[in-house]
Amino acid sequence: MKYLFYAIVMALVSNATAAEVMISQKDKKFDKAAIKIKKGDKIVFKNNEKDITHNVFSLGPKNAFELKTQAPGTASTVEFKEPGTTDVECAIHTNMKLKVTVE
Amino acid sequence: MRIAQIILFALSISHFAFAEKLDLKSLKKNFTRPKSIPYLDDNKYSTEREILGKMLFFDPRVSGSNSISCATCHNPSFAWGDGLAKGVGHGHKELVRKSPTILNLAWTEKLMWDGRFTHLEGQALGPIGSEAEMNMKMEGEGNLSDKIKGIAGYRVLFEKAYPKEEITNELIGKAIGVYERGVVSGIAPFDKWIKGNEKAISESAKRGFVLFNTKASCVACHSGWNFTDDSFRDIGVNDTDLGRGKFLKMTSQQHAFKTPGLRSIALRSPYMHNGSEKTLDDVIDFYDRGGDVKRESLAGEIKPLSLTASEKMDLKEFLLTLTGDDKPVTLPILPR
Repeated sequence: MKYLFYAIVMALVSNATAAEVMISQKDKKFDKAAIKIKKGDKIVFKNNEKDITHNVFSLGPKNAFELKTQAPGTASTVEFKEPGTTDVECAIHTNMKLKVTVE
Repeated sequence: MRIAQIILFALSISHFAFAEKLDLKSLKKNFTRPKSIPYLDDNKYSTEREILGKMLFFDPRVSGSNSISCATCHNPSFAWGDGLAKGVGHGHKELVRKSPTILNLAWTEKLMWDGRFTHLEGQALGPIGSEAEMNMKMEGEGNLSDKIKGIAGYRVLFEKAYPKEEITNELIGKAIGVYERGVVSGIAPFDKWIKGNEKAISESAKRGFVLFNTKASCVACHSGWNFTDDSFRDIGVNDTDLGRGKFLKMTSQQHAFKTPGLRSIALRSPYMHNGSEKTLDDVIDFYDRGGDVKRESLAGEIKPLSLTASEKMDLKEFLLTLTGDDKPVTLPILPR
């Protein structure tokens, strides 16, 4: 029971220290070309376009994800659980590139 | 009569306010031509490489039948396309898609209608090795590099262009890439207008440019000096071709095809990835009705535009100003 209590506390502490970073999509670009985050951190991908949809995804193999079609004004959050480098792109706008390094 | 005058006055005020809001001057800056051509760091430009690449581009011996060159489908006389609805490949068999122009591809990373190749240097070998297209053997005895190495003149040209490098398929692709990067559309009336010559294009074309950037929303995909954002979208062409969806399974990429640039577009009919629209008028009508098929993958930007007949005419007038003063291309004497 004591160990379960410690485990819950540790999980809460660990969750509390995980950071959340915003990456904006505007003018068919990510607002950063590269970003370094810690394992367990989250990135909020926000479509800040006026009238353009995006479809952000990672090329994997680590931290594979796909955000589906994102309408202007919407945001989606992705937790990066695995250390390593992941290339993130927009499937529609292939010139949008972001390198995410998870430490 | 008085009511009509009031309506006209109100319309002219709203048009004036709209034009003010548009900020035409800063908008025009988005369409300025680049000052130089980009080349890859490991495949820089040299005159020798361009000469070699041009010979390979026009040489039918890079095909299995010795009868199809890159220029067969990318003919400078047809604005670097072939003027057909669908290309024709090995054995005179019709291919599944239209041959796209190679104009201004130095600025594009993902190539082909479905984006399956990266950079011109890598793309060049794709159609050469495709059984359906040029049907050239790429591996084993008698492959492309063996064939080119067997031509004495090419050995000399490669030594000048890439000293001490072994002639490989990859190097052949690099040489063709250098030549293709130099295929850039000439200065068009539109460019002269962008640089400040107000008489370079008609008032109708200027109205068309404003429509292109506003009500017609063309700029959502056809942006920048080459009029493409290099995106891949389903625009609602009614066929079963999955396009980029064959490689990327996400919904947005089903039936998605590359947004082509619009330079010299008047010379590049028929249009769309399958050549299904014969004229520019047909293309404008297609977009005006919001495409021909509604499906989950249809891009959000594709919707009915409610363009008037005069607006359609203005849009077309604008598109006609994108044809450059391209110089005729001389054919090379090929090495034996």
